[in-house]
Amino acid sequence: VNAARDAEHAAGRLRGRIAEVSTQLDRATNDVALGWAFWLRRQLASRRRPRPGRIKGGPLVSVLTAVYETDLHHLQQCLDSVSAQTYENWEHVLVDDGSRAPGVGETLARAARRDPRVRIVRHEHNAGIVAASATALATAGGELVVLLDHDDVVTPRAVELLVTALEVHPDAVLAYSDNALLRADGRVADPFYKPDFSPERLRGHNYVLHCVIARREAIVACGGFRAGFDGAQDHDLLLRLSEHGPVAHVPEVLYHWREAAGSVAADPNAKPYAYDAGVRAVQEHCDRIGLDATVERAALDGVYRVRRRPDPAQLVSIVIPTCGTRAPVWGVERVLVVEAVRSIIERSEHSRVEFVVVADEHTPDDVLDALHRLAGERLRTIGFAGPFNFAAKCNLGAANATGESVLFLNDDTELIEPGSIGEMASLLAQPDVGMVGAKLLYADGTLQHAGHVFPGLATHALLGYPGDHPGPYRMASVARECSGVTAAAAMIAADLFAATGGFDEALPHNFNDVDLSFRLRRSGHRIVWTPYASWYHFESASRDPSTGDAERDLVVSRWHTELEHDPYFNPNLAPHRSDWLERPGRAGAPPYYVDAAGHRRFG
Amino acid sequence: VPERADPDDPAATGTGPGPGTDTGSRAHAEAQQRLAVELQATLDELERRLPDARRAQEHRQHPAALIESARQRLTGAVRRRLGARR
Repeated sequence: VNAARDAEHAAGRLRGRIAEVSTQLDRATNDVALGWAFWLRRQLASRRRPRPGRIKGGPLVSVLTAVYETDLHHLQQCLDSVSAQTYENWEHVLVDDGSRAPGVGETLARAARRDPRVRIVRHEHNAGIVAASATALATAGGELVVLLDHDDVVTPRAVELLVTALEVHPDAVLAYSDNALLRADGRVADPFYKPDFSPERLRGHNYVLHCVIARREAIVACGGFRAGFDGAQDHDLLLRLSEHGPVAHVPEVLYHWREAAGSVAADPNAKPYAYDAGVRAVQEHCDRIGLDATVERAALDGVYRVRRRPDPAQLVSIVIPTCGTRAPVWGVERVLVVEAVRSIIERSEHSRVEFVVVADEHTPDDVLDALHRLAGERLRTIGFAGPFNFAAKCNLGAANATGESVLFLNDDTELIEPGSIGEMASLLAQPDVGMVGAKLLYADGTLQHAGHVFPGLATHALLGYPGDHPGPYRMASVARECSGVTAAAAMIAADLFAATGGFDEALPHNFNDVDLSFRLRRSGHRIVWTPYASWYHFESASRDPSTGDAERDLVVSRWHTELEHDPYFNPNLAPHRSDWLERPGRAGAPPYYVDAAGHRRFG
Repeated sequence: VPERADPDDPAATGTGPGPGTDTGSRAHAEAQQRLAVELQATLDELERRLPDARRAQEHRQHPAALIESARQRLTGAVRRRLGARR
């Protein structure tokens, strides 16, 4: 069996790579397929740059920039990009942190002479980015503060749109935007289209990055920039700000992060000390919000694993609907439910479980006997009569469960990660987490489920990608919020499940998990997917995978708004795709390029 | 076609793998290996197309490339027209 599984995995790796390369090909050919006319229109549009300062009034916005040994050309571009803002009421506070490179002071002084809104402070000795940022904050007079790196470039409407985001969300303490990388040749590439605020993901890595707008009083109230977090000072500040109030997101590329030599944008290993600071920042955040967890570096640089401590005494009820199907897996026929249960008994680190098997009336007796022999007193079998109804079977199982939390599990699964049940149960310990989903792999090791993706009817993020793929912007490497997760392996608190009324039995085959996810989110709960819980899912090996029109119509009529807007997707991404492909025409469109003489040119 | 496992297998519950496990898994492994050859050919073809597609994308995205392309096409057209007149 091992040889057959390995052979299928080898084929799966190729299949996953084909999916990945197909996305890259689509990305590369999309712009070309649109034709030159489209390209020209876009270039002409980018030349019609909005007039600086056209937005009058509004609160004073202080743009804070710590400067140290900056390439003069990059520094000038940074200064110019702030000067070109459509929002008029800004000041640019730059702290020269003891630069010795010739020209830095002169460039800054020249900018200050040209525009009184540019304010320069100089540290005689280099004190580090935290101290420089703190000086800038102390100097700033604005009620709103924008953080900007010394070699980054903001787009002309960046401040205007960030201020608007805080006006639209008056309770928000912070707003962030999408961004792109700025290549050495001046090209803008690799746009990072972010989800709306995802606190679980922010604990896993700093996906917000560093150009944000925040209320000055909130920054001061949470302690400002903290010494000892150099390299991760932005992540530390973002985590503390997020504890103070809601966070808004502008789904538009508003700044370009320069891929300079020695920067993290170009080389994730450029600042190894930053990751140790990041671990401390996330650990202290967990301590402050009362999360009983240990934070450690994950396999990827800049990614952190928040290892919660599961309660070993907590009883988890595993509800498995079945009719005792036999099916081949890796070339050998198995009784699916028996092997699903066996994998948990043999591999799970969390052993305090009960199995509530909801069996159709025609389930063979030998299957039930085998389950009893395997699980003994931990097994409860519940008979189910009537036509197949996944929702009703799950509800019946949950009604007969005695655990504090219920893990709904398809019978065509096999546990991979021994810590899965503990990981899911510990995530559920946070009261605002409504449901937790797991990473599911097909028999060939490719990804079946990494969270639901909308708009449109649900699909699965990165469907068919390699099972160990980190995902775009590392999204598959970290626990993160999703609009929904599949009930093929999903855990929910038993009392919450009862309070929501369970799965809707009017959705007997499909979308019952989508419906439940939306109901949970509507009641203010988060749905979290974690890569640290994983199963094989031999999907639809035990039943007909087709979807019914009636179920589809019901879900669309009930949830059309939610289906159209997925806060954990992004409107710049192509709908009906699960591979994070940009909408055609948006990928890497350069607003300008830099010629050999260092001048900015527009198409 | 999968078959049932050895009934003497202590891991077998009477419902698990039946007799012929080795035969079934060996046949499956061989089928997967044949499939992998086809998949590798598909992947090779896609990866062969990728550099060209990327070049086309870069060409389309970079204004300097557009200008250069337009200049070359214009020059070519002028030369062809002049050549035709001669």
